[in-house]
Amino acid sequence: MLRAEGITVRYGATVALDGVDLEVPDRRVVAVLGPSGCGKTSLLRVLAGLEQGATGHVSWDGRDLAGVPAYERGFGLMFQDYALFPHKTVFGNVAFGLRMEGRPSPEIVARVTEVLEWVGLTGYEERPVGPLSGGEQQRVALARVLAPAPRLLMLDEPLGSLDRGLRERLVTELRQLLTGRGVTAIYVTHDQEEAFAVSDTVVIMRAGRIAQQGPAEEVWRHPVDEWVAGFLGFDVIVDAHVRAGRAEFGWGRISLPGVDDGERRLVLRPDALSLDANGAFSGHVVGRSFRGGHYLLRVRVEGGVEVELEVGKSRLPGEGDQVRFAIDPEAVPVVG
Amino acid sequence: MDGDRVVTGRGGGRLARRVGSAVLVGVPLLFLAYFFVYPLAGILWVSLSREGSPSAAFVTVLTRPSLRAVAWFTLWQAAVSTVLTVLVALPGAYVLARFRFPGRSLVRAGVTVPFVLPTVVVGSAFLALLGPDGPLGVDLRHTVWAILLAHVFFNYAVVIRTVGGLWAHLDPRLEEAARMLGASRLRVFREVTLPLLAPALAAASSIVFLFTFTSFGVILILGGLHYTTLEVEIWRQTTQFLNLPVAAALAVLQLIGVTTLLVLYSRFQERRAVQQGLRPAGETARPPRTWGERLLVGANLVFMVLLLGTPLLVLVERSLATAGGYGLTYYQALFTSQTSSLFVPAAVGLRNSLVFALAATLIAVTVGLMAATVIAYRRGRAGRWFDVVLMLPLGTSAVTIGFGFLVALGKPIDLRASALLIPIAHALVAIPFVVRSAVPVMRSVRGRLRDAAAMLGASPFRVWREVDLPLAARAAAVGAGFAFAISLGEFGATAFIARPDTPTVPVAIFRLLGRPGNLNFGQAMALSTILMALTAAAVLLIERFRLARDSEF
Repeated sequence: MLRAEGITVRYGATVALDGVDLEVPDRRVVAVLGPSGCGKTSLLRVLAGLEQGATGHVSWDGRDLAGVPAYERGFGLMFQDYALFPHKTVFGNVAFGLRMEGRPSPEIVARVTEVLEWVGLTGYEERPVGPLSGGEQQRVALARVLAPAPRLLMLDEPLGSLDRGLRERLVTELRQLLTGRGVTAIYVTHDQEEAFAVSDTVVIMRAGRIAQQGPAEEVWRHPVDEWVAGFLGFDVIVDAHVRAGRAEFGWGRISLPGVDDGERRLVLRPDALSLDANGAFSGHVVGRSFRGGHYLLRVRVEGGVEVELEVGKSRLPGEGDQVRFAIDPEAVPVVG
Repeated sequence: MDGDRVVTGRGGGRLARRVGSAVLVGVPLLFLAYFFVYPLAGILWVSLSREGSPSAAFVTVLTRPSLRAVAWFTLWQAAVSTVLTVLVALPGAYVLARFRFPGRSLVRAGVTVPFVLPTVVVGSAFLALLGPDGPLGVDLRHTVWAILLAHVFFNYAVVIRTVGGLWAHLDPRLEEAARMLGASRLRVFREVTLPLLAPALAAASSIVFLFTFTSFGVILILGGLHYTTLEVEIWRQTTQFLNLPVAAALAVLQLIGVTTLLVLYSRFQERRAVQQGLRPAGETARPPRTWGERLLVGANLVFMVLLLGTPLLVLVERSLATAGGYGLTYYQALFTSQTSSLFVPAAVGLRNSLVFALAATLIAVTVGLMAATVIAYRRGRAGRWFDVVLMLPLGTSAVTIGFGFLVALGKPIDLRASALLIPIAHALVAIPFVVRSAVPVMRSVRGRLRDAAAMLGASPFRVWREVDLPLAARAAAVGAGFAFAISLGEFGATAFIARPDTPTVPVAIFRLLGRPGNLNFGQAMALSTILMALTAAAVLLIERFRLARDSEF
């Protein structure tokens, strides 16, 4: 397992990473999620041994990696722009790590063939990498980093430059590949859907620090503060007065057991609200947008607050319609 | 908590890296120190200790009006030659870089041949072309125009290869983006293309300037007695007036001027080096589509053929024009005739030249690539000074190098009789060019590729070997091709150190030209033609080699 403690990186006056702790257990995928500039790529580079001048400890299975150069760590790093060797073929790229290990030629050929099959590029060995499409290049880069079976795999925004359809397909494939092979991996991205789809644990970073970490579902259900909630796309955060297990908004109330009294901030996620003819709340529809599998309805409640609901295609209200809805108190995280 | 513990590794690789670094820096420096600095010091020492007062020679040089006129002429003819060459060759570079047409590789190779021809041969060819008996029917010999024309003839290839080389790799999407943002073609050229080409333009201009500044054979033959450059003056002072102090003083002053230029150039280069997303050359070229483009391509091709082909055609014609009509008399004479100016048949010179050229290429590429690695990767002062030092042999008179060898390499070990002396002198002249081709390519390798290689387990040495080396190998191949061709045609230094019984081809030609009579002149023409064919073959081979790898690139 990988353990990093107190990783700090400074570039002059800017602090790129500020005392970051990270643990990656064996055979687990940890997603590092955060906006651009939060330090996720710097973190990977520090773990890889490519970053000079970082402080803190990095250890693998208890053994400190200070003084171990990048090429001796046995970690794989897949770069954001793939960094394929332009002067080598697909075979040349994928076989590179194996050659550095000094494996005999027949073994290399067998392994390259195997790995290319995993990524769906059988028969591509002799092709030059320059003319390949984005998706193909991504897979070559993936094959290249998988081939030497690194003990830790680090992926830096590997799907960043691909179109949506390809991305979704590859995310599923990646997850299967990683869990199927029992790979220990860190997956860096700014796309939360990707992060949730691929990982066991999610680490959310903000401005060089860890804002929250935990199993994907945990983080989703219980964002720890407003910033995280906002980052996860939860726009609707309302003030409420909580007393004795009941939360009072200006326009209604719900029961909220187990929450401390006081003026609190509550997140109203679209999946927590549902259309209900007998619901306790009412408002009128001010907008709706089609999201592929469902619609997102914006409803203005009396009192001026706008909330969002996820609604299926059946029973779809039109704009301006009066609706009633209910709120599931189990799905309302408190963030302030 | 140990706040200061560095997380990243430096461990066992450190020693290996230090040793490797020392070798990369040490070998070129030692080579230069013994075969360049030491001989120069030797000349300086010899010249200063002859006269009563050490500065007497310098005073003479700086005050005598004729010598000052020589210095001024050297400067301005080099500047004009440079500007002329760049202006004339820029369209040609564009055509060869961006357009695909039948015979393209042949033209590319053909363009390079003049550059590597011996100056003596070119001088003779232009003498014949511009003389009263020539096809033009005018007498332009011994005029400035003859000199400028010959210089353009010579250095056309430098601009084509250096600027055209980079141009072919420029991403046309950058220009397209500019056009989409509303820029006219002229503005695109001025604001996008030209700045991106600046490193190559600067490199090409400096090389052309240096070559024309130290031009020797051309001035000797075409300048007559009216036009003299520093190089020719050094030679005259040494060989005709036996005035070593003045010759040495001239050499020293020339060296100072060249060093200053190179320092300025190097400073400019580093600031301008932009990591470019270079595209494979094959991708950016396309067949000419519009009539305007076809005209451009056609006009440039015709111009190239006229400028570069005519003198060479005259040369071949003269080699076959025997007294009794066209025939191979002169060629046959090469293998049999033993005239008073050569102790062996001229053909022996051929064998010598080839052997020397192979040796010189080996030395030049080895030392040159080492130096290029250091220059490309060491930012700041150290790398810059190394760059300047490595370029010095280029600007130093080849005559001075040869003379220095003769004067200084007698002790501590007497190398003057060694067969290695000539290849070393040739390598010295060729190394700067190997370095100049390799450095821009090395500098453009993205750091990301090296990181990727390191992550896959490649030690720093293996990263260099697997990533930097192949990417620079192409440039190295070009450098090697030039080193070989330059060695075949080198004259200035070889004239001093070649022994009478082991002449090289240029020396043999010069000696033949120096003698009266049609047989000697004819043999000189024949030998020149053979040398031209050899050089063209060498360049063509390199070009094929380059293209074969281009598709892989």
